[in-house]
Amino acid sequence: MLRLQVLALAALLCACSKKEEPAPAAGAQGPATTEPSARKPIPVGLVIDVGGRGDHSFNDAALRGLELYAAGKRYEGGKYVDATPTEVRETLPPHMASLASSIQPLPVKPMVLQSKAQEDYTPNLQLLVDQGAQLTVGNGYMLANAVRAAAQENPKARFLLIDSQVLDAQGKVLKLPNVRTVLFKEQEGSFLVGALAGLVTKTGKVGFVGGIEVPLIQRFEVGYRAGVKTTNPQVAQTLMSVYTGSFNNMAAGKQVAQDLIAKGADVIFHAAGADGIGVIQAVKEARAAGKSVYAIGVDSDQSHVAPDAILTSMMKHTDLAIYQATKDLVEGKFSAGEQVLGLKENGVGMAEVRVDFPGKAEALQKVDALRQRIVAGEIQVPAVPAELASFQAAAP
Amino acid sequence: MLAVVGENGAGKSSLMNVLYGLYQPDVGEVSVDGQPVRFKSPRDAIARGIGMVHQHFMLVPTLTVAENVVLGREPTRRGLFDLERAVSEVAATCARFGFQLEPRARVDTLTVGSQQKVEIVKALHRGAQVLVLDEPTAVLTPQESDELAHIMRGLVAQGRTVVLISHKLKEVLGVADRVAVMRRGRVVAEVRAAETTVEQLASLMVGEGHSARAAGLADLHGGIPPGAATARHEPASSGAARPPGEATPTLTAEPGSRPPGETSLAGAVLLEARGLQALGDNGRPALRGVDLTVRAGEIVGIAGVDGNGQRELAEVLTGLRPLTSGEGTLLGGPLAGLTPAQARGRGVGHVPEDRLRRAVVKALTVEENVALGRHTRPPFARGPWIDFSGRRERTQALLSAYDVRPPDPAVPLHALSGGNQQKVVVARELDARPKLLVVVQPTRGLDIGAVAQVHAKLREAREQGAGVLLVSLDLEEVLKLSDRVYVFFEGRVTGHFTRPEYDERELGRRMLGAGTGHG
Amino acid sequence: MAERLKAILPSVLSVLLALAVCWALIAFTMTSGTATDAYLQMLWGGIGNWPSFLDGAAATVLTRPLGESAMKAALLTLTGLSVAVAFKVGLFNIGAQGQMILGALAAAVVGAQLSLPSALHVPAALLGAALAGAAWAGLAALLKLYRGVHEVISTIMLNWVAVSLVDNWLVIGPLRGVAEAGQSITGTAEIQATAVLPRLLGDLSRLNLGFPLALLLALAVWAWLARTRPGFETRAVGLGAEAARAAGVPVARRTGVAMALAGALAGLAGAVLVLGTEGRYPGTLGAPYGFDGIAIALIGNNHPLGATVAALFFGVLRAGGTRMQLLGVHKSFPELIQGLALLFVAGRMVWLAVLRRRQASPGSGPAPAAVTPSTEAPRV
Repeated sequence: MLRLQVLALAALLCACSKKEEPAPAAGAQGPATTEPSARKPIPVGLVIDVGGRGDHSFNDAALRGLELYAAGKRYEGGKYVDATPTEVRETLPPHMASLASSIQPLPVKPMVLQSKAQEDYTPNLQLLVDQGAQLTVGNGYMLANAVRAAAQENPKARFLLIDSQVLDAQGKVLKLPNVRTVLFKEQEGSFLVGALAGLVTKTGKVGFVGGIEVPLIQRFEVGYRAGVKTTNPQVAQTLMSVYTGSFNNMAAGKQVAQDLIAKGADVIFHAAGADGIGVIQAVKEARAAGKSVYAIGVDSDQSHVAPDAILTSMMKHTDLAIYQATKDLVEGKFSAGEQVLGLKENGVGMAEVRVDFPGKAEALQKVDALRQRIVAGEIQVPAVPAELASFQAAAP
Repeated sequence: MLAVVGENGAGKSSLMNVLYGLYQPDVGEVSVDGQPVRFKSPRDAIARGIGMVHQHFMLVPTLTVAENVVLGREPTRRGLFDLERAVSEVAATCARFGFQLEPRARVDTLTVGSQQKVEIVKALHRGAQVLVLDEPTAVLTPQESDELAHIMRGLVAQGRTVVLISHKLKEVLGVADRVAVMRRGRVVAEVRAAETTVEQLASLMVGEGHSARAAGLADLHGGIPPGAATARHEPASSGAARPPGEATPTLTAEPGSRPPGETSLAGAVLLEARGLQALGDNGRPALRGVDLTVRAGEIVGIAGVDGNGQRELAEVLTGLRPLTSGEGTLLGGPLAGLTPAQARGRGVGHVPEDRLRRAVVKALTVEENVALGRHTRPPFARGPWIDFSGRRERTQALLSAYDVRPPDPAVPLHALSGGNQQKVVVARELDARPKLLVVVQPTRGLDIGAVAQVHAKLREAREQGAGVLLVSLDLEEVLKLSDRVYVFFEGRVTGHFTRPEYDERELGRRMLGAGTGHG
Repeated sequence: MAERLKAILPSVLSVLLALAVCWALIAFTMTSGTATDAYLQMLWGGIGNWPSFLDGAAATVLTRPLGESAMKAALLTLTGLSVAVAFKVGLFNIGAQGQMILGALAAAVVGAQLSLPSALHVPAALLGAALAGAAWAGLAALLKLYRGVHEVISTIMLNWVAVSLVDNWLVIGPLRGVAEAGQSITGTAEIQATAVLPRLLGDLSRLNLGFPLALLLALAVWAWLARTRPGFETRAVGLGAEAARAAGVPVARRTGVAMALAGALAGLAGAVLVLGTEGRYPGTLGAPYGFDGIAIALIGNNHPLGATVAALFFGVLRAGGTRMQLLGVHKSFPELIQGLALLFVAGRMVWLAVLRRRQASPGSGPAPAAVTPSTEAPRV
């Protein structure tokens, strides 16, 4: 069932890309300028978590999905301006470039609320529903409870919950008829960046910085460890992993990363929201001080935060998931249920490697080979720490 | 030398503060040497040669005399404070004006009189041509007051101008050349000291048609009340300003409302203390073994120069300061371990010296202050609740009985003048009908009318059978009111006098330490 | 009455000035039309969208915004009271945030771990929160009374200790809620249905018992301070500790009790949050209601009822302010208004000085009397 849907999604994206190839320029500008009077845009709401806009990571990915992909807009100084198709294309990694043309602006009006605290989630979702949002996106597992409450209170409204299923009071999965949930196989994307890290490290030490230690973030760590183990088993034994306990504390991330660098780590992968920006900063500063250190970004392609310092990023395509849900809504095909997106479904991936290092081509080749084996189902990437020990590194 | 006299609130202090640049005049101007000036701050005033000696000294107790004097204009050598030069400069100033001060002595080791000299030297050192002294003798022993008068005359002889603010009329007449009388913010008269009398000044101060108050005032200041029928033996008052020729060292009696020598009211022992010892705020012994008895129906005075343990004694008796040694019985209970609540419970009333710190909360209303300390009992409370109407009624009654102005129970206490605040305190404490009333400096800063009223109330308490322990730095006040007097010096009792055997000279000697070892 | 007006005036003027400044800021960065629209949105989001209600929209356009405002106001009232009560005894309680964190955690634990009938469960959870907050504040009081540690220092420190203890350890460690394998949840286990604060309007709004509880407590605190002997003693200690001691007031006990009460009130704020809307201790107690309490107390002139009025106002403003985002106005403006109002209230001394000068200048007669108290102050 689940797989089926996912396959359908992938197929759909591909199909679109073939069909509408010649028309992107017109399409991108079209709906915003010519159509509004013809068809009233459908309001789609998005509540992002306390990390806020501009985290260059998880929230920005969601905003990209709704604002740039779905609505064809760019947010600038409190206003929306029309975006160009080039901007869309630039956000996609090379192996997904073909999808760019399938992403066409939809007649939707984005309504975004940033949350100032956890207790804002529920009222913010409710506010968007009250404002007429046909679909309301709760971005992040921290909104799981809020989405549950809002969905139960507004049975007619539709919701999309990213990164979590809806749980009941006992922590059991709860299926609601008006909520679509999307989970990602973060371990698969993390596996790839881990494999690259294992090939790139010179000191023989790599690090991981997590935010709050929950199963979700552990999937990043476990996949990363498995990837490192695959390409460089010795490094895997000394891998250093730290959790900051937050997603909105840059200073904490920076401090932790400085510590890891001091202990000799030269590649650091973060899955820590805004804390991760601190990690990247620490790496940037260490590079300025002459150390050869790399950071690996997360969720979005974070290369632009520090072009020299970002080795690559573990991409989590919440943007595509949100775009797809919006598209389904517009086309009247929105359905509740669960989606689990992995490498195969383009739900996760590895961003373009824009830095140079010795043996780059060879390393990328190895990593891509691994990617294909995962897609083909030859490698089952572990998702929980318990499976890690038994995971046998298959030499690339 | 000009003296400025007037009742409290007549505007003396305000006038001087304008002269010293603390306040700016709204209208009018100040001229120095014929030039109009406008002082924005004391700094300007100092620059124009005006120096001020405040009632409350502005000295840093832990610094030496020399350091205090040069503070703000320290001599430096290569950017560093040059102590040696400071000492020699100060020594030179002292020598020039005839002060005997050790520049290297720490100020907190000096007597009050010496500290005052430091203040004067400080002003002179800054080139003061005009020296303003605000109530300078309030805290001095008779000997010290004499010495101060001498110093002031010396300064005038050297061509300096001295402005003396006081309401001790007699002392003023003894030293000043001219006297300006202020009343309600105006100078109502200016007279030559040689051509006036205490009585005339008194009636000028209170104005026309207030002969009764003028009488009380003159009485207080050792004059004969105008029109007083009773021929009274003129009592000699203490103080620096003894007119030349008058030599009556023995104060026989100041009768007040009862015949001299009467102590028959004295009854049961309320307080019996042996060997009391306690530490002062600075952690050094302040009481070093005090024996003391107070009976019902008597006023017992404690005389002494400021800082000799009187305040600490009052605090021990009211439970505010722990004893380090000694024992005693206070109203049927032990003195050791006494808490303020216990003291109040046993019937100790307390009019403390530092009103704003100890007696009242100035941000609370008058009625709340009246309730303070008795707020758990009727008519101020009913069960756990405040009894608003009972409190209002009682307060209103007290305000009118004590002539507090404004007689509004609901205003914050700080809206009242100092004198009226003190009346509220006295009213509250006496209204509680204490068995033992511990009173410290009850009339400090009060105007003449209020002083007389407070004195009358204290006597009334005595007649009603209360014991009163009166601590005052104003020897005159102590002698006038007390049936017995203990003299304190350095935390010990150095003298014990019973009315009518008050020998003022001997008292003064005891206050300065003579007779240590007995009594 | 005139006295009272004079006491209120600076706060009102400060709030108005803050509103005006923020309006100007929005108008400057966007357009004046947007600024006005944003303010209107804030208003409708705070007190309910009356125009659309009168146009026939469902009652929820009124009840939902009002409910949200009331819930924010309830939290702000409780933390504001916490700070105000401490102020009354002369202590500056910067620690309401930490006390609230402890209270929220206690409510979450009692709510989730105990099984009681509803009539007992809610009071038990509230009591647990109050006790936890009181204990946390009590620590600061003990440090003050027996070690002379200034309460500002100790309460700030205790805030950090609370965050580290609760957010960074207990909630992500031993007390983390359990979910089905592979599921991530934030915060502690969800409280049982019996511990949930009953909603007053059912599905119409999230308004729950927490709001009337906060109002009731505000009244009770006011009555306690103004009408009872212990309350009087507390105020006396705050305004003149030495005089109160001399009058036989047990200063240490009053200080301790008032501080504990302050902590209990902040703890209850945590309980109202957890039992009312969140249903669990969230991963982090994000919104700094405890710190907001300082602003609320100051703007409310440290009067329990004044703080309540301020809390109601800022509850409306904060709940409604979210809607400003719909117009692209930055999310921080509601807090900015509150912060500016506080800044202006802190300038109250300046206000008063201006007022006094204006009064003093026409007639010079009473001027010395008016000046005396202020010149006395530094000497004392």
